[in-house]
Amino acid sequence: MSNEIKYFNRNANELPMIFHFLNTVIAENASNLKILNELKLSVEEIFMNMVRHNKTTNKDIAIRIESYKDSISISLIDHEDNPFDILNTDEIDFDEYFKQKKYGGLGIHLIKKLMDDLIFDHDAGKTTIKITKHIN
Amino acid sequence: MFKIKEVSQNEIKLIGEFDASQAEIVTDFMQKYEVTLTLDLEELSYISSMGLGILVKNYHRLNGMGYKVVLKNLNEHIKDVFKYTRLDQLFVFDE
Repeated sequence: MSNEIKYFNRNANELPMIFHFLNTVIAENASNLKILNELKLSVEEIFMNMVRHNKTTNKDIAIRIESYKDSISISLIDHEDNPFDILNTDEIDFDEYFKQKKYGGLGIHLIKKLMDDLIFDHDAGKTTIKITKHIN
Repeated sequence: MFKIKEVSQNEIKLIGEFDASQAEIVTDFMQKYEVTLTLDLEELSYISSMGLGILVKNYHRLNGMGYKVVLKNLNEHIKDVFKYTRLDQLFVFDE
């Protein structure tokens, strides 16, 4: 098992550095490009949600990658008092979505489809969202 | 790294990783097209939900003018993303 953590500024321009971190750590444990892209998509969505919706802090967002023999878990940790629980979201009604010509808000739906596990936790002013993907 | 380039007057090519940091560049680039537009995704390795949103927004813009958006050469990751969001029902695929 390996466990690595890095801290990133609250800015979309950090995404290339975040992807480099994921590429470096995950590539050592999973050579499957499709799995890597699914993890990147999920991390980007959670990170950008934290950047866009939590304006109460300037502190960095922590990303921790835990690699196991048969799975990879990634936690994003942010400082906030009133968290948005991404597990507590309605399923998308796609007929209505297309009818209303919407074009955003698909990220959380995608995380739920692409990841094997999604955990939300809020404790002592810190929100942790942890995603897990089985490798085999 | 991400690039977008014009192949012809009705075809553009997206190259690399289309994440949220590229949203403004792609929005500005696609805005000028008022045709049935083909997007060649052969060299697009990754797309995020923000990237998808920009493609859907352009779909609605062009569809409102009577045009379509055609996608070609999608990799497995991008095919899955379109399937899971049911956007494969919206776009035309040139397989």
